[in-house]
Amino acid sequence: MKKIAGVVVIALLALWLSGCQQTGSQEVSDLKAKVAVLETKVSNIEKKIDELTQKIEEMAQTKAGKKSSKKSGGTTGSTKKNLPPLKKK
Amino acid sequence: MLRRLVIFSGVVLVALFVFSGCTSEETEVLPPENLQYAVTSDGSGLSLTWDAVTDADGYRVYVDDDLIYEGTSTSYTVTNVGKEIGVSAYKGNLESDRVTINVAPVSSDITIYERSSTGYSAMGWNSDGVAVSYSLLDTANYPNFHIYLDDFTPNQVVPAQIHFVAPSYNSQGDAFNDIETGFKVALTSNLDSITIADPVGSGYVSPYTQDPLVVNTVYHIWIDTQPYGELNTGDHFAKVKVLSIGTDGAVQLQCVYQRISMLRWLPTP
Repeated sequence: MKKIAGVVVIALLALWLSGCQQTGSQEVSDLKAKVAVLETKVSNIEKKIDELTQKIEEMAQTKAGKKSSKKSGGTTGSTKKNLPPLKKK
Repeated sequence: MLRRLVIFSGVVLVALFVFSGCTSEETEVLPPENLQYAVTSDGSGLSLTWDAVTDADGYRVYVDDDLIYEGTSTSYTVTNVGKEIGVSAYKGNLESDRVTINVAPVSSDITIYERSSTGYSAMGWNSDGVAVSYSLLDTANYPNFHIYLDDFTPNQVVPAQIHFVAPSYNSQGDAFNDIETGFKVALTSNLDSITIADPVGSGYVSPYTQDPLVVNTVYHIWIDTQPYGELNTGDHFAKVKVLSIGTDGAVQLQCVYQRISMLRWLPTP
Protein backbone atom coordinates (compact mmCIF):
# COMPACT_ATOMS: atom_id res chain seq x y z
CA MET A 1 0.00 0.00 0.00
CA LYS A 2 2.83 2.38 0.95
CA LYS A 3 4.69 1.55 -2.28
CA ILE A 4 1.64 2.21 -4.43
CA ALA A 5 1.01 5.48 -2.66
CA GLY A 6 4.64 6.47 -3.18
CA VAL A 7 4.54 5.66 -6.90
CA VAL A 8 1.29 7.62 -7.33
CA VAL A 9 2.73 10.64 -5.54
CA ILE A 10 5.96 10.57 -7.57
CA ALA A 11 4.05 10.14 -10.85
CA LEU A 12 1.79 13.07 -10.09
CA LEU A 13 4.77 15.20 -9.07
CA ALA A 14 6.53 14.33 -12.34
CA LEU A 15 3.43 15.25 -14.35
CA TRP A 16 3.08 18.53 -12.52
CA LEU A 17 6.75 19.42 -13.02
CA SER A 18 6.65 18.59 -16.74
CA GLY A 19 3.61 20.81 -17.17
CA CYS A 20 5.31 23.68 -15.41
CA GLN A 21 8.43 23.17 -17.50
CA GLN A 22 6.27 23.51 -20.61
CA THR A 23 4.76 26.76 -19.32
CA GLY A 24 8.24 28.05 -18.51
CA SER A 25 9.62 27.22 -21.96
CA GLN A 26 6.67 29.00 -23.54
CA GLU A 27 7.47 32.13 -21.54
CA VAL A 28 11.11 31.92 -22.62
CA SER A 29 9.98 31.53 -26.24
CA ASP A 30 7.71 34.59 -25.94
CA LEU A 31 10.53 36.63 -24.44
CA LYS A 32 12.89 35.56 -27.22
CA ALA A 33 10.35 36.69 -29.83
CA LYS A 34 9.98 40.05 -28.10
CA VAL A 35 13.76 40.48 -27.98
CA ALA A 36 13.90 39.67 -31.73
CA VAL A 37 11.29 42.36 -32.45
CA LEU A 38 13.25 44.89 -30.40
CA GLU A 39 16.50 43.96 -32.15
CA THR A 40 14.83 44.47 -35.53
CA LYS A 41 13.45 47.83 -34.43
CA VAL A 42 16.91 48.96 -33.28
CA SER A 43 18.34 47.75 -36.60
CA ASN A 44 15.69 49.72 -38.49
CA ILE A 45 16.49 52.86 -36.55
CA GLU A 46 20.18 52.39 -37.37
CA LYS A 47 19.30 52.01 -41.06
CA LYS A 48 17.17 55.16 -40.95
CA ILE A 49 20.06 57.08 -39.39
CA ASP A 50 22.39 55.82 -42.14
CA GLU A 51 19.86 56.82 -44.82
CA LEU A 52 19.43 60.28 -43.34
CA THR A 53 23.19 60.73 -43.07
CA GLN A 54 23.53 59.73 -46.72
CA LYS A 55 20.75 62.12 -47.73
CA ILE A 56 22.43 64.98 -45.89
CA GLU A 57 25.70 64.21 -47.68
CA GLU A 58 23.87 64.04 -51.02
CA MET A 59 22.18 67.37 -50.38
CA ALA A 60 25.53 68.93 -49.48
CA GLN A 61 27.06 67.54 -52.69
CA THR A 62 24.11 68.77 -54.78
CA LYS A 63 24.43 72.23 -53.24
CA ALA A 64 28.16 72.30 -54.00
CA GLY A 65 27.46 71.07 -57.56
CA LYS A 66 24.91 73.83 -58.18
CA LYS A 67 27.35 76.49 -57.01
CA SER A 68 30.13 75.26 -59.32
CA SER A 69 27.63 74.97 -62.20
CA LYS A 70 26.60 78.60 -61.71
CA LYS A 71 30.22 79.71 -61.66
CA SER A 72 31.01 77.87 -64.91
CA GLY A 73 27.75 78.87 -66.58
CA GLY A 74 26.61 75.23 -66.56
CA THR A 75 24.30 73.95 -69.27
CA THR A 76 21.00 72.11 -68.95
CA GLY A 77 19.10 69.77 -71.22
CA SER A 78 16.86 72.58 -72.39
CA THR A 79 19.75 74.16 -74.27
CA LYS A 80 20.25 71.08 -76.48
CA LYS A 81 19.53 71.91 -80.10
CA ASN A 82 16.16 70.84 -81.53
CA LEU A 83 15.18 68.89 -78.42
CA PRO A 84 12.21 69.51 -76.20
CA PRO A 85 13.03 70.92 -72.77
CA LEU A 86 13.63 68.42 -70.04
CA LYS A 87 10.71 67.84 -67.74
CA LYS A 88 11.48 67.34 -64.06
CA LYS A 89 9.20 65.10 -62.10
CA MET B 1 -4.09 7.46 9.06
CA LEU B 2 -1.54 6.72 6.38
CA ARG B 3 -4.28 5.98 3.86
CA ARG B 4 -5.94 9.33 4.55
CA LEU B 5 -2.60 11.12 4.16
CA VAL B 6 -1.99 9.44 0.80
CA ILE B 7 -5.47 10.29 -0.47
CA PHE B 8 -5.12 13.88 0.71
CA SER B 9 -1.70 14.24 -0.97
CA GLY B 10 -3.14 12.81 -4.19
CA VAL B 11 -6.04 15.23 -4.19
CA VAL B 12 -3.71 18.19 -3.56
CA LEU B 13 -1.41 17.16 -6.40
CA VAL B 14 -4.26 16.60 -8.84
CA ALA B 15 -5.64 20.03 -7.96
CA LEU B 16 -2.20 21.61 -8.50
CA PHE B 17 -1.90 19.84 -11.86
CA VAL B 18 -5.32 21.01 -13.02
CA PHE B 19 -5.24 24.60 -11.81
CA SER B 20 -1.60 25.60 -12.33
CA GLY B 21 -2.00 26.31 -16.04
CA CYS B 22 -0.40 23.10 -17.22
CA THR B 23 -2.59 22.71 -20.29
CA SER B 24 -2.74 19.87 -22.73
CA GLU B 25 -0.29 20.18 -25.62
CA GLU B 26 -1.43 21.59 -29.00
CA THR B 27 0.06 19.88 -32.00
CA GLU B 28 -0.56 22.27 -34.86
CA VAL B 29 -1.43 25.85 -35.79
CA LEU B 30 -2.73 26.54 -39.26
CA PRO B 31 -1.08 29.28 -41.35
CA PRO B 32 -3.02 32.43 -42.21
CA GLU B 33 -5.04 32.26 -45.40
CA ASN B 34 -5.90 34.85 -48.03
CA LEU B 35 -2.71 36.92 -47.63
CA GLN B 36 -3.21 40.04 -49.73
CA TYR B 37 -0.95 43.02 -50.38
CA ALA B 38 -1.26 46.53 -51.77
CA VAL B 39 1.57 48.93 -52.52
CA THR B 40 1.47 52.10 -50.41
CA SER B 41 0.70 55.30 -52.29
CA ASP B 42 4.33 56.47 -52.30
CA GLY B 43 5.68 53.08 -53.40
CA SER B 44 7.77 52.66 -50.25
CA GLY B 45 5.97 49.71 -48.69
CA LEU B 46 3.38 46.99 -48.78
CA SER B 47 0.14 46.90 -46.80
CA LEU B 48 -0.64 43.30 -45.87
CA THR B 49 -3.94 41.77 -44.78
CA TRP B 50 -4.86 38.18 -43.99
CA ASP B 51 -7.73 36.17 -42.56
CA ALA B 52 -7.82 35.41 -38.84
CA VAL B 53 -6.83 31.90 -37.75
CA THR B 54 -9.13 30.20 -35.25
CA ASP B 55 -7.50 29.78 -31.82
CA ALA B 56 -4.30 31.60 -32.82
CA ASP B 57 -2.73 33.79 -30.13
CA GLY B 58 -1.34 36.12 -32.77
CA TYR B 59 0.65 36.54 -35.95
CA ARG B 60 4.25 37.15 -36.97
CA VAL B 61 5.47 39.03 -40.03
CA TYR B 62 8.93 38.40 -41.44
CA VAL B 63 10.99 40.15 -44.10
CA ASP B 64 13.75 37.88 -45.39
CA ASP B 65 13.55 35.79 -42.18
CA ASP B 66 13.80 38.88 -39.93
CA LEU B 67 10.88 39.09 -37.52
CA ILE B 68 9.43 42.61 -37.83
CA TYR B 69 6.02 42.24 -36.23
CA GLU B 70 4.35 40.11 -33.59
CA GLY B 71 0.83 40.82 -32.45
CA THR B 72 -2.84 40.12 -32.79
CA SER B 73 -3.64 42.35 -35.76
CA THR B 74 -4.57 40.77 -39.10
CA SER B 75 -2.98 43.60 -41.06
CA TYR B 76 0.44 45.21 -41.16
CA THR B 77 2.31 47.67 -43.38
CA VAL B 78 5.85 46.60 -44.23
CA THR B 79 8.36 49.33 -44.99
CA ASN B 80 11.51 47.26 -44.50
CA VAL B 81 12.92 46.59 -47.94
CA GLY B 82 13.31 42.88 -48.66
CA LYS B 83 12.93 40.09 -51.15
CA GLU B 84 10.41 37.85 -49.41
CA ILE B 85 7.64 38.59 -46.95
CA GLY B 86 6.27 35.85 -44.73
CA VAL B 87 3.31 35.72 -42.35
CA SER B 88 2.68 32.98 -39.77
CA ALA B 89 0.21 32.33 -36.97
CA TYR B 90 1.29 31.23 -33.50
CA LYS B 91 -0.27 29.73 -30.43
CA GLY B 92 1.87 29.45 -27.36
CA ASN B 93 5.21 28.14 -28.49
CA LEU B 94 3.76 26.61 -31.65
CA GLU B 95 4.10 28.46 -34.94
CA SER B 96 2.51 27.66 -38.28
CA ASP B 97 4.26 27.46 -41.62
CA ARG B 98 4.70 30.86 -43.24
CA VAL B 99 2.72 32.03 -46.21
CA THR B 100 5.01 34.12 -48.38
CA ILE B 101 5.03 36.80 -51.05
CA ASN B 102 8.01 36.97 -53.40
CA VAL B 103 8.97 40.61 -53.92
CA ALA B 104 12.50 40.04 -55.20
CA PRO B 105 13.48 42.19 -58.17
CA VAL B 106 14.91 40.56 -61.28
CA SER B 107 18.47 41.09 -62.44
CA SER B 108 19.52 40.92 -66.10
CA ASP B 109 22.26 42.28 -68.36
CA ILE B 110 21.60 43.58 -71.87
CA THR B 111 23.45 45.31 -74.70
CA ILE B 112 21.65 47.85 -76.89
CA TYR B 113 23.00 50.18 -79.56
CA GLU B 114 22.78 53.84 -80.50
CA ARG B 115 20.01 54.18 -83.08
CA SER B 116 22.40 54.84 -86.02
CA SER B 117 24.48 51.78 -85.16
CA THR B 118 23.83 48.20 -86.22
CA GLY B 119 21.93 46.30 -83.54
CA TYR B 120 18.75 46.77 -81.56
CA SER B 121 18.40 50.18 -79.92
CA ALA B 122 15.33 49.80 -77.72
CA MET B 123 14.73 47.74 -74.61
CA GLY B 124 11.92 46.91 -72.28
CA TRP B 125 11.34 44.66 -69.28
CA ASN B 126 8.99 41.74 -69.92
CA SER B 127 6.43 40.32 -67.47
CA ASP B 128 9.15 38.11 -65.90
CA GLY B 129 11.22 41.23 -65.22
CA VAL B 130 13.90 40.35 -67.78
CA ALA B 131 15.33 43.06 -70.06
CA VAL B 132 14.62 42.40 -73.75
CA SER B 133 16.03 44.32 -76.73
CA TYR B 134 13.94 45.42 -79.72
CA SER B 135 14.56 46.94 -83.12
CA LEU B 136 13.27 50.48 -83.57
CA LEU B 137 11.56 49.12 -86.70
CA ASP B 138 9.67 46.45 -84.76
CA THR B 139 6.31 48.20 -84.74
CA ALA B 140 4.54 45.21 -83.16
CA ASN B 141 6.68 45.65 -80.05
CA TYR B 142 6.46 49.42 -79.76
CA PRO B 143 4.16 49.07 -76.71
CA ASN B 144 6.93 47.10 -74.96
CA PHE B 145 9.61 49.79 -75.32
CA HIS B 146 10.74 51.40 -72.05
CA ILE B 147 14.04 52.99 -73.11
CA TYR B 148 16.05 53.49 -76.28
CA LEU B 149 19.41 55.06 -77.15
CA ASP B 150 19.95 58.19 -79.22
CA ASP B 151 22.89 60.57 -79.64
CA PHE B 152 20.61 63.06 -81.42
CA THR B 153 22.99 63.06 -84.37
CA PRO B 154 21.22 61.35 -87.29
CA ASN B 155 23.19 58.80 -89.31
CA GLN B 156 26.22 59.01 -87.05
CA VAL B 157 27.37 57.25 -83.93
CA VAL B 158 28.85 59.61 -81.38
CA PRO B 159 29.59 57.43 -78.32
CA ALA B 160 30.21 60.44 -76.08
CA GLN B 161 26.71 61.80 -76.79
CA ILE B 162 24.51 58.76 -76.26
CA HIS B 163 21.46 59.35 -74.07
CA PHE B 164 18.73 57.18 -72.62
CA VAL B 165 15.47 58.33 -74.20
CA ALA B 166 11.86 57.67 -73.24
CA PRO B 167 9.79 56.07 -76.02
CA SER B 168 7.22 58.87 -75.63
CA TYR B 169 9.68 61.02 -77.57
CA ASN B 170 11.27 60.36 -80.97
CA SER B 171 13.58 63.00 -82.44
CA GLN B 172 13.11 61.45 -85.88
CA GLY B 173 9.37 60.90 -86.05
CA ASP B 174 6.29 59.88 -84.11
CA ALA B 175 6.53 58.62 -80.56
CA PHE B 176 6.97 54.86 -80.16
CA ASN B 177 4.44 54.68 -77.34
CA ASP B 178 3.11 56.81 -74.50
CA ILE B 179 5.53 55.73 -71.76
CA GLU B 180 7.35 58.75 -70.39
CA THR B 181 10.27 57.02 -68.66
CA GLY B 182 12.03 59.17 -66.07
CA PHE B 183 15.77 59.05 -65.38
CA LYS B 184 17.70 60.12 -62.31
CA VAL B 185 21.45 59.80 -61.81
CA ALA B 186 22.36 58.07 -58.56
CA LEU B 187 25.14 59.54 -56.47
CA THR B 188 26.92 56.22 -56.39
CA SER B 189 28.51 53.87 -58.88
CA ASN B 190 27.70 50.88 -56.66
CA LEU B 191 24.48 49.35 -57.98
CA ASP B 192 24.07 47.15 -54.90
CA SER B 193 24.07 50.11 -52.53
CA ILE B 194 20.71 51.24 -53.90
CA THR B 195 17.96 49.22 -52.25
CA ILE B 196 15.04 51.51 -53.06
CA ALA B 197 14.44 53.80 -56.03
CA ASP B 198 14.13 57.49 -55.23
CA PRO B 199 10.53 58.67 -54.81
CA VAL B 200 8.56 60.38 -57.55
CA GLY B 201 8.90 64.13 -57.41
CA SER B 202 12.55 63.88 -56.38
CA GLY B 203 14.04 65.04 -59.67
CA TYR B 204 13.53 62.39 -62.33
CA VAL B 205 13.96 63.94 -65.79
CA SER B 206 12.24 63.02 -69.03
CA PRO B 207 12.16 62.39 -71.97
CA TYR B 208 15.96 61.91 -72.05
CA THR B 209 18.88 61.89 -69.65
CA GLN B 210 20.22 65.34 -68.91
CA ASP B 211 23.79 64.31 -69.69
CA PRO B 212 25.17 61.68 -72.08
CA LEU B 213 25.77 58.22 -70.65
CA VAL B 214 29.04 57.66 -68.85
CA VAL B 215 30.49 54.29 -67.90
CA ASN B 216 29.80 53.23 -64.28
CA THR B 217 26.97 55.69 -63.88
CA VAL B 218 23.93 54.27 -62.09
CA TYR B 219 20.41 55.48 -62.86
CA HIS B 220 17.14 55.29 -61.02
CA ILE B 221 14.52 54.49 -63.66
CA TRP B 222 10.81 55.25 -63.34
CA ILE B 223 8.61 53.67 -66.01
CA ASP B 224 5.98 56.40 -65.93
CA THR B 225 2.70 55.53 -67.60
CA GLN B 226 -0.20 57.92 -67.98
CA PRO B 227 -1.20 59.99 -66.11
CA TYR B 228 2.37 61.33 -66.07
CA GLY B 229 4.19 62.72 -63.08
CA GLU B 230 2.38 60.71 -60.45
CA LEU B 231 2.62 57.16 -59.21
CA ASN B 232 -0.13 54.95 -60.60
CA THR B 233 -0.83 51.34 -61.49
CA GLY B 234 1.31 50.32 -64.44
CA ASP B 235 4.34 52.30 -63.27
CA HIS B 236 7.47 50.36 -62.42
CA PHE B 237 10.93 51.06 -61.05
CA ALA B 238 14.38 49.80 -61.97
CA LYS B 239 18.02 50.60 -61.40
CA VAL B 240 20.51 50.44 -64.26
CA LYS B 241 24.28 50.66 -64.38
CA VAL B 242 26.20 51.52 -67.56
CA LEU B 243 28.89 48.84 -67.78
CA SER B 244 30.53 49.86 -71.07
CA ILE B 245 30.09 52.08 -74.10
CA GLY B 246 31.69 50.85 -77.31
CA THR B 247 33.02 52.91 -80.20
CA ASP B 248 30.34 51.21 -82.32
CA GLY B 249 27.60 52.63 -80.08
CA ALA B 250 27.07 49.40 -78.12
CA VAL B 251 26.02 50.10 -74.54
CA GLN B 252 26.14 47.28 -72.02
CA LEU B 253 23.75 47.64 -69.10
CA GLN B 254 23.23 45.86 -65.78
CA CYS B 255 19.56 46.04 -64.85
CA VAL B 256 17.54 45.30 -61.73
CA TYR B 257 13.78 45.58 -62.20
CA GLN B 258 10.90 45.41 -59.72
CA ARG B 259 8.00 43.41 -61.19
CA ILE B 260 5.45 44.63 -58.67
CA SER B 261 3.83 47.74 -60.06
CA MET B 262 4.51 50.96 -58.09
CA LEU B 263 6.84 49.27 -55.58
CA ARG B 264 10.21 51.03 -55.35
CA TRP B 265 12.08 48.23 -53.58
CA LEU B 266 15.23 47.28 -55.49
CA PRO B 267 17.54 45.14 -53.36
CA THR B 268 19.99 43.39 -55.64
CA PRO B 269 18.81 39.78 -55.99
